[in-house]
Amino acid sequence: MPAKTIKRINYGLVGLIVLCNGFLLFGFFKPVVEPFVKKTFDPVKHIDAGNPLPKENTLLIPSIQLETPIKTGLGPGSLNNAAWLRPAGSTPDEGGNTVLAGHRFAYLVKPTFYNLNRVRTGDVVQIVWEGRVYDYRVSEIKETEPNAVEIEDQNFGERLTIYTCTPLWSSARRLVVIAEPN
Amino acid sequence: MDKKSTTVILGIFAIISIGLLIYALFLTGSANFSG
Repeated sequence: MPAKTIKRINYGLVGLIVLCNGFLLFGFFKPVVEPFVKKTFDPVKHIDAGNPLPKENTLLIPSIQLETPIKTGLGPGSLNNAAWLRPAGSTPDEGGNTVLAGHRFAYLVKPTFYNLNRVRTGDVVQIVWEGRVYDYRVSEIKETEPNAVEIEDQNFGERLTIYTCTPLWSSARRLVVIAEPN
Repeated sequence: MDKKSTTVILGIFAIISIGLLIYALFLTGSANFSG
């Protein structure tokens, strides 16, 4: 094979390696860097009286710079790029246990709850639901087994339950954040 | 190192990179993995 052809193949391979690894590294670090960028340039703030409300149903956790739409649906496809309002749960206006689930990490869709482990007890959580704001404050953070379906029970009164996978890169357990009405 | 040896080494790295990419896209794309 002529030396020129080998040189071209080498350049092609270098390009391929850079592209593949660049995509992997970008996806890996994006959710880590995103809250800091957002805090600097377009911070997520509490919704106060008089502020314009987001048009769609939204979950806000300003302490981790999280603002994500809430999707309703029967299948886990609703987890993609949003927080999924679990069909078995309540809704904020009904006053029961509102349950939201989301991806911790994924390359092809938004890792909605990547930073959920940084939420602390006492943090403010807000939900915009059907044009109204509902305020909550984080009261409990715990880890459960993946089959702990009791977190979706309706016998707790009015509260918000948010959960995702933990530890990062694994679906071995669930990280559960419970918030009570403020 | 001659150009052919370089091609072999780059080829191995390229195959590993593509393998990692496929693993990352398909495995973390499933709800079971990413929760």
